[in-house]
Amino acid sequence: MAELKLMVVTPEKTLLDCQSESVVVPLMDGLMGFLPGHAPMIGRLGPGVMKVQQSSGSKKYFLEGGFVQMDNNVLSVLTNVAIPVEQLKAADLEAKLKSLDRATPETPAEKLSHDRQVAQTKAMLRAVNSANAS
Amino acid sequence: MANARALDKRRKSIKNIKKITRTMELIATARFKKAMERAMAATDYTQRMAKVVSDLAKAGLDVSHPLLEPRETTKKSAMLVLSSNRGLCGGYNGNVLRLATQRYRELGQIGSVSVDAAGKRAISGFKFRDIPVNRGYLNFDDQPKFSEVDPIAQQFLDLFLTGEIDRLDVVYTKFTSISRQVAVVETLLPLGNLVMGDDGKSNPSRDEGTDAQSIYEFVPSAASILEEVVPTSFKVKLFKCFLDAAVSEQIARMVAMKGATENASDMIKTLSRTYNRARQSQITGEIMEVIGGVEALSS
Repeated sequence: MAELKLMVVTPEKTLLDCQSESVVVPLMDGLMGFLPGHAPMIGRLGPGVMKVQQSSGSKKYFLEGGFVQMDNNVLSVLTNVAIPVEQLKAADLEAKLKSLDRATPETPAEKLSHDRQVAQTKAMLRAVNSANAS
Repeated sequence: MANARALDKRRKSIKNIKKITRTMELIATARFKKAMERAMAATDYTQRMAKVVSDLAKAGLDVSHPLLEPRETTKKSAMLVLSSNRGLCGGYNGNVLRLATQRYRELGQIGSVSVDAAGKRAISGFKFRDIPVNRGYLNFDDQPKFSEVDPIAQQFLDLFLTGEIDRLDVVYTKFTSISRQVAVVETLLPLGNLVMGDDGKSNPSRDEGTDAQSIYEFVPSAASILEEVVPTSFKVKLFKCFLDAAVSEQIARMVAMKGATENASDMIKTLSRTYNRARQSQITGEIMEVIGGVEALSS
């Protein structure tokens, strides 16, 4: 079966460099699937789960955002955070969300960062729950 | 002539110091290699990022973003100083601090400056110079993590966007090659250009590609991607500053400890020579005394 090359790169290192049969990435406004030979495109990622289908099985990663670029049968995923979904625990995330709820940001800058953290934790939680459900 | 026993004692203590500096040199070398590997691994991301940016520019998009616009007046500026947590690394911290103090004075003439410092050395250095430090970070070692830099970067972005600062300068030691690292001041906000090359490969030339149709499809739109590209490229730039500083610190320590070890070897050499001479003259003196005694008895 035809395969495409997947590169997952974070600012720290190249996390994944492998052949894959199909990849589903979370864009800003929904999921998008890639099969080998996809047309060139650049997309903006949103928080969510990336699903990588390989001949040996499938893997799921939580992505926080970033970009995806498809070119010449190479799919580059540039993201700040890529965590295998198995490593996220729903209980920890719920505890974090609760502690965030109690915090009261004062300055506008603090408010921005607080909102962002809440959104991130919620997205992680959603990702874990959806991965467990399927 | 100096006392032989005192000389011997001194020689022993220098030998001990030499052992310590030698070990520290080896540790710094190992850490340098690790830090270097990390810095190299990070370049992959920046290259791919640069490609996205140049592809965006080829699509004929007008590159404008609040983070790229210089402010008319810079009343409030922020300065982030990257230093090490530990000393014994030669002029590494001194150079950064000197530059930072100079820039602090320059900025202080225009408006208010808030100083953030990473590393114990910078924090204590500013305390000594009576410069108030707004926030101090101690959690950065020889392998800075992106997840640690990200909140700091985000915080500066928020401050800049809400208008609480008009400018951000980062003072750190830039790594140019293994034999050359210089303390520099870089203005990261407003972001001058998007491409993250170290040298001034500024804005990708838009003239060449504007007419040709870009082969890429942008999802959801080129403008939306730009909105994300700009803050990300700032974060990556800041992260690169931290990585550079970490690598430079290890090199500085390696060089300083190498020098110290060599100096210790030289000192041991001269001290051994003086010690031997002192011992010999002591023995000669004792023999002379014995001979003198024998002769006094026989006569």
